[in-house]
Parts: sequence; structure tokens; C-alpha cells
Amino acid sequence: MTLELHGTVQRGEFHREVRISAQPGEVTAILGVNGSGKSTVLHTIAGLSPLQTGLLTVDDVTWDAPAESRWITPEQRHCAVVFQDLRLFPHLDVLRNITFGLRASGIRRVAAIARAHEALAEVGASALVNRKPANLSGGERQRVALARALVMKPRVLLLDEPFASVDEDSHKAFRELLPRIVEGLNAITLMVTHDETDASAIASRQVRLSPQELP
Amino acid sequence: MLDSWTSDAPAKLFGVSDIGVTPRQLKVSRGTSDKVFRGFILAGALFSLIVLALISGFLMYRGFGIFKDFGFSFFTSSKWEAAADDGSAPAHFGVAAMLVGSFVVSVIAVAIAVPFAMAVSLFLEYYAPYSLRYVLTTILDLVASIPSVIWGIWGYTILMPHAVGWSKTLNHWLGWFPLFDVPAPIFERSPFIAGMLLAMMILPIVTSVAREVYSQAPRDQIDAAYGLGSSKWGAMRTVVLPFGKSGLIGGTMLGLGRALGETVAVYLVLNLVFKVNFHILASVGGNVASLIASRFGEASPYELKALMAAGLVLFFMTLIVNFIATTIVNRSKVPS
Repeated sequence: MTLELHGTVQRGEFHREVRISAQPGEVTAILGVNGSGKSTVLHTIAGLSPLQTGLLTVDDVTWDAPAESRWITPEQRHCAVVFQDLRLFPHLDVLRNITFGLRASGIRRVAAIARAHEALAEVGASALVNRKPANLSGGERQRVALARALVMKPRVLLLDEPFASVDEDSHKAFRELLPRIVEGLNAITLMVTHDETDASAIASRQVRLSPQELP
Repeated sequence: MLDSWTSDAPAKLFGVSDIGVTPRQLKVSRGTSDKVFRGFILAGALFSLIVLALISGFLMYRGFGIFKDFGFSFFTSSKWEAAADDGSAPAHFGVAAMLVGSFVVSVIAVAIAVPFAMAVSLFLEYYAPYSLRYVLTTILDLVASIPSVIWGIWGYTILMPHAVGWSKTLNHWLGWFPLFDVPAPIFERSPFIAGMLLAMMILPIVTSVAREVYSQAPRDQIDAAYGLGSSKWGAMRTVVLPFGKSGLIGGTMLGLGRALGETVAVYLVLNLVFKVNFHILASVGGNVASLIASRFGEASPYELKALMAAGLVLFFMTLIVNFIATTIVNRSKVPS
């Protein structure tokens, strides 16, 4: 019961070879300098960029296998992504941002709202429920983005530089909060970071991507 | 950009706005090339305003006598009668029926065209393979360039015989509703048929605008929707459609503007009757533009004034539509 990814990931002109495996219930940190392809790996797992060669399997189910012309659409992958730039929907309030994924997967409105309130409470953001993203601070937006992913109870949780847009105090708080939340989720969690301290504090495994040589 | 510093921004920046400090005014001295360019674009902007003012001035000058003679009844009366040659019957002019007709036909056109335009533009932008997109876009551009008289002939000879059958079906099933009721069983040259024809005529422009705004929907927001397990349609509904809302309204209003002013095509497929009519399947209708086209050639000098006044009303109606469109577009912009 693991995630296995090996092959060539590509986004735009960029491509590189990777080999990553991850287990449920633990956080795997993907470390590397800027431009080493960390985010591209997450995009490939989420189904936003197709794998060029190789194989991606989760729980022995093939998600992406170019050789077999097999590719599972993003909505069938049970993934949830927290993007580096968060990407909250600017025209929706916090509650509708969080219920979005649940509603998209067919969960009824009342049940989705109840789960959204639980997720907001979990990340300590219950008071933000009716606010629009434009009226949130960096730390608040981060909490909402995390709640939006957690509420999905995903099989694979993908965190792209999850502390990139928070101040030092919030950073410390998140460093304590995240392992607790992930532990309860029992999901395969991959966290992209370039911060060694974050990786050591949160992740139980580390994968280091070497800098990509320019052609 | 430098001009914006004449605001109180610097004062606020240094926290002195509340203690009565007057913001500093900056004087900007511009170079010659900058001055020439400013003058050039200012002249361009003023030119369109001058043309607009000249048109309205001309129409007002020529049609003012009619407003003086008939007052508000010019807008509320449906009677359009030139004076008898022997002077036995005085002239009477009113555009109420034509105004209502313009409105009804244009609303039908927009109601049919907009859903189609949305579907076509979403398909072209997000679903169609590149080669098909290229072919369909070229065809749409071609359709946009068809002259309205050709549309009118096609509407009269091809569309109308089919549309009469559709009208009868609508009347059969929905005739209990006043909109689809007909006083007499004549279904040719109705507002419904004219509206359908206009819908086809405005479809390319609305589609073109919609496609343009949908193509600019933020890719990262679409990816965010996918990243939360959304289907393609879910991403369209949550990101693309709200993002393109203001642009679509703008495109719709452009289409509405064309529909309101369309002349020849409507004249060929709509029975010009001076009677306010909301039965869209009945062979009774008209619009201001086709009224002017139909009467212009044989109008007496006095009726010509009435037609100028009708033109002025159409002109202001279009301006009001554009003003409303701009207001709606500004209010419905999605924050980025």
C-alpha cells in the first residue's frame, strides 16, 4: 500500500528523471534547490502534468503509465493539493472554497458544510468562515488552503512549500500543527520544501532531488 | 503613473494624513515626444466623442419639431400615420409599438444566442482539438462577415418555412401562456422568427468575445480545481464561467446593440404592424430600425422628421444599453 513513482516528469520545457516511493501515515519530504523539479513531481502525481516515461502507482493501482497509454484523470485520483501560492478561489468565501472539492465529488451540500466546519476547526480557522480570500492575512490563507485539502480526506495529500507565505510565528505553529493533522489522516503525504529544518521536524522520510544540469 | 502622486498617498505613507498636512502636488514636465503622443491619443479619443455628438446633434436638429408637436405621446402612441394628401386627416406619429418590438425581438435573440455562444466558446477553448478549433473559429469569423441582406433572404426562404412548424408546436403545447398565444393562426414573419434569425447573426460576435475572455481564465485556478478532485466541467463552472462573467455580459450587450439596430434582415422576416404585441409567435411586430428603412424612401418632409426622431430614440436606446452594460461589467468583475 504505497505510492511508487519512477520515470521522467515534465512540465513545459523542463523534464527530469525521478524515483520516489511513499507510505501512508507518514510524511515524505521532497527536498531540492529551486528548479530541481520538486513541484513538477507533485503536479505529475496530481495528474496536472502527465508522466513522460515510467510508471505511477498508488495502492497497486496504475495512475499513469505512458507505455500502456494509461492515465487516470485528476478527479479519479483522490488527491488534494496545497499549492505554493495557495490558489484560493478569489470570488468564493472561505466556506465555499472549502466545500468546493467535496461538492465536486458529489457530496451533498449539508454534509459538505458540516465537514468544512470540522476542517476549519482542525486548523484553528473557524472564525474565517464567511470571509473572502482577499480579506485574509497570509497565515489565515494558509490555514484555509490546508483545510481545503484536508476536508477531502484524500488518499494522497500533496503539500507544495506549505509554509512559503507565512510569517515566522505562523511558521512555527504550522510546523507543530501539520504532523498532528497528517497522523490522523493516514494519507500518503508528500511535502515539497527547501527548508531542512521543516523536513527534519515534520517528515519521517526525505527524498533529495539533485539540481538539474542545464542543457 | 507619476500623476497619481498628486493624491494623498505620500501623506498616508508617512502617517501624517490625520494631522492636517496637505499632500504635496507634483509638477510633471514632459518631453516633446510624450506631449505629441498625448496630443495624438487625446485627439483620437475626442474624435469618437465628437462624431457621437454630431450624430445626436443632427438627429435632434432634424427631429426636434416632432417632439415639440407630439410631446410624450411620441413614445407612448403606436399610431404612425402620415397626413392625408388632401389635408383631411392630420399626421400622427408614435414609436411605442416599434420600441416594444425592438425590445422583444432583441431579447429573444439574446436569450437564444447567449447559451449557444457560451457552449460553443467553452467547447472551442477547452474541449476541441486544435485542428477542429481552427476550422470552427474560421467558420465563425466567416459567418460574422455575412451581410445582413443575405441573412434576411436566407431567413425568409430557408429558416421561416421550418420555423413556422416550430412555432405551431410551441403554440400547441404552450399556447396557454400569453407569450406563446396567437390571436390568429398565422405564424409567418413573427418576432420569434426574427429573434431566431437575429440570434444567428449575433452568435459570432458574442461567441468571439466569450471565447476571448474564457481563454484568459487563470490557468493556476483551473489547476487548483483539478488538484481538489474537480472534473473538467467543475473547473469550468467554478473558475472559467465566473471569471468570464463580465466579459460575457459585455459581449451580450454588443450583440444586443447589433440586434436593436438591425434593419434589413428584420424587415424581411418580420411583419411591420403598428401595434404593441407581446405574442411572440403572432405575425405582428416591428422594430425602430426597420421602420426607418421601410418608410424612408417615400416619406414626406414631415414624416422624415418623425423618422429622424425615431432614429434619435434608437440612438439613445443603444447608448443606454451600452451604459447599463458597462455598469454591469464593472460590478461583476471577479477579483484576481
